[in-house]
Amino acid sequence: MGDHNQPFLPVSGDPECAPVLGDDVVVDGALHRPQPGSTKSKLLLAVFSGIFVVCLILAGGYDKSGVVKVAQLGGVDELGVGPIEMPAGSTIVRPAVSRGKSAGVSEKANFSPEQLLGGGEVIGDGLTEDFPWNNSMLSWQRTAFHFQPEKNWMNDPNGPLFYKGWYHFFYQYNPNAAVWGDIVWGHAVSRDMIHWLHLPLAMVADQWYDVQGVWTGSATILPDGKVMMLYTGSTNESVQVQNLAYPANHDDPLLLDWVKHPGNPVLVPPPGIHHKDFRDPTTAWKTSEGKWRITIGSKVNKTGIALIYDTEDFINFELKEGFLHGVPGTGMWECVDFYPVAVAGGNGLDTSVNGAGVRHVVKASLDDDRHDYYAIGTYDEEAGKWYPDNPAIDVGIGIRYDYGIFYASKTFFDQSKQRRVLWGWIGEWDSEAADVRKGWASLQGMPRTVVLDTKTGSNLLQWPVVESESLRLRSKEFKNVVAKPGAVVPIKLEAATQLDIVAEFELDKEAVERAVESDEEFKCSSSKGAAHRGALGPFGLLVLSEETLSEQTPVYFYVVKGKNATLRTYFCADQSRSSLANDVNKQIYGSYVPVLTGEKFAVRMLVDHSIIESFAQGGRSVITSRVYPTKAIYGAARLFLFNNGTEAGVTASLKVWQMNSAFIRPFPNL
Amino acid sequence: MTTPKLANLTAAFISISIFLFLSSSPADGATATSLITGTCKQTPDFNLCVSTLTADPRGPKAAGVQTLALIIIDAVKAKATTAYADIKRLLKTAPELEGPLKSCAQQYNVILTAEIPEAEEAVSGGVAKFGEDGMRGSASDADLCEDGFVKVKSPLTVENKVVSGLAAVGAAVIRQLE
Repeated sequence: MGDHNQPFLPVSGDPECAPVLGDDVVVDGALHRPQPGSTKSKLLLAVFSGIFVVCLILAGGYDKSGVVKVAQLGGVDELGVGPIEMPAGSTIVRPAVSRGKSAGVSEKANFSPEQLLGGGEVIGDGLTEDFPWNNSMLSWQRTAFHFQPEKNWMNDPNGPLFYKGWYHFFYQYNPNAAVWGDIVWGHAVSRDMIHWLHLPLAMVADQWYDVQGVWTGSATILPDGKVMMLYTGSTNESVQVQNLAYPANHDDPLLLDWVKHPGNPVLVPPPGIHHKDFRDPTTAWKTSEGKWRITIGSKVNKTGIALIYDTEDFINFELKEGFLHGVPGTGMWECVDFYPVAVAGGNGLDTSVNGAGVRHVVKASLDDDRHDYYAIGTYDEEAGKWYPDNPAIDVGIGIRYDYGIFYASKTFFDQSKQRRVLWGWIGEWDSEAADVRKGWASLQGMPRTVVLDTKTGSNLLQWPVVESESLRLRSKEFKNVVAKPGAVVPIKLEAATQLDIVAEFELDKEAVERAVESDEEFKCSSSKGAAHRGALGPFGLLVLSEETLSEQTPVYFYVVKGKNATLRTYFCADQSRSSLANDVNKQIYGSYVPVLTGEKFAVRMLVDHSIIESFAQGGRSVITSRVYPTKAIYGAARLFLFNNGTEAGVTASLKVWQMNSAFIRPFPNL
Repeated sequence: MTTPKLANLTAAFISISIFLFLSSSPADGATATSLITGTCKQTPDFNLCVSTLTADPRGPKAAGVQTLALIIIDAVKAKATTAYADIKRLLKTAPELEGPLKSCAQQYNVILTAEIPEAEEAVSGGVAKFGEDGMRGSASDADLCEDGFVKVKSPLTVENKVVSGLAAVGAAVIRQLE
């Protein structure tokens, strides 16, 4: 019932939102109008310019570009435009989704918890000196139980599959640096999607059709068990093409060696599609004609689209007319994914399943804002089209898999446990310089199962794979801990950097009833984070926090009582005080989350050094955060319960497990 | 000085000026093309963007934004290379600044060996967002170098500002490729 997730709102930097810049531009009160000029004043200007030029020549200071400089003498240049300031909201240098230095305040003073949470006075004028990262702080950032290579850069997950008893994971990898580049396919295997063992590189850039990059692709397992891998290659002329590869030896459970089809590429950009807008082929699914069908993301002008191809042999393809789907204004669709989910929930479905009792999900990674969006709808097999159930929250303008850092995600059907599993690339939110210094960048999210939320019918539920529970060591339970308005309650633990937390919260019923209806239009990103006090929130946990709260990462709920006493709940993470360093992300982000009648506010959190994954309401809304504290590390990290609402007390019950390392390492004796 | 000569001189000045005025108007493609001005308007420093692009022979002939992006990246590389050489020189001539200079050497090393190659490869390959990362990273690193001089005056202010400003322009140009 009621509304669901916030539709996607345009993000800063999106050209769609920037005002059209013409020659006369007034930008948000910053006046930069050209002076209206009469011919006479232009002539006068020309005369003075001429004299100035002659002087320059005589002074020997004239250079080629002097013409343009000279014309700007009066503060107005020849082209009729003065210096341009970017409109507020399209901050190019430090946009909302950038990495690197933020515009956060230097939090060097020591505040009392009440001051911090109560939105106390801000001290400091911004960036002062560099934060002196030391090796201890940097090496703490490596995770214990999230997939990452031993060093260097990783991005998109590729071709995940389960084969002959092993889960296989491939990934975009730079063997030479901790920044993107020289991309090849890394490879690892695991019995349980947790304890990964690194294998040699699966594919390198050794053919003309992938010499500029062995990019993202997907696996299809044929009925006879054979594996077909379609992937994008960037050719010697930087054209994006699709290539076929398959295991050199189908009897090798480790799938160590791969053969590239001699007739590659199997697909080149079709007419009307730019050669740099054609990448990331999906897993194939069967059509009713018995053919295989794949989709590849692209764009036409600013409309993101998913192209459809049919094939019988993965070598010869037929481009189907029209697109599977497209959404205007969303820009390039990367890493498109397409899969069925059961209306009744429960198990996952093989990609080829269709029919009654099934909905289909279309997902795209939007290049423009680096977020992953999905929508649920109907697949018309014959027409080769998909229609969203709710066009207002169509692909790219509606629901995101994750409201933190999570991109280029891809699902696969795990036939051994009949579940659909989602992988997602978790990038870094620190500076590239720090990445180079620490020698690595990026993680993969904890793999998540994906099912339809049967209670709402209009969103998915994501949850860490059940094998994550095998990492749980000792647990501690805290029942009915009360946090009055303004309270910060320590949760005493032996350690607080590798945790699995399951928590439930209840607001004081009387206070909720008493609370006045508010017409507040709340958004995590425009709020003051945990310092944004309302009657019924924020309340939640302070993760990776330091004893005096000089560093803290609140993950919390914020409840607004609106018209007719309906409650709207928001789930946010606040990084504004997550670190004393000034070159890390300091944003506040999250989303609306449906909380149904009778449900408590519930969250599960995986804390693993510099990554926090937070799942609200059974996975209805998920937030992944990358956090880089300088003090709240190793034994100094703490967990607190907090309630910064003004009227309602909160009662919380939590169970917290210490999490073991997954001992991710090279495959022994290879 | 005779009156006719002065009149001729003035006429000459006016002629030269008018010629220069006309030759730098947007209708003439010899300097700032409409592609350059349109692209540069969407960057934080229009003048720096235009002057850098028009100074490069590829600029006025560029058919698309990708070429403009590569020109800016090259310009950042050139400025960063000079800055790095200056840092190395200053390490010898200004030992009292060793601390912040060593940091700067680190920062510029990252710019030259990681961030610029990343930007070049990404822009050439059509995955512009990593090019943006590389340029933003370069701007950040130049700023970090500058910020490192807390109690003393930075000998690299001009160079750091140029690298930072140019890299910010680069990121904004690359953004238009997405």
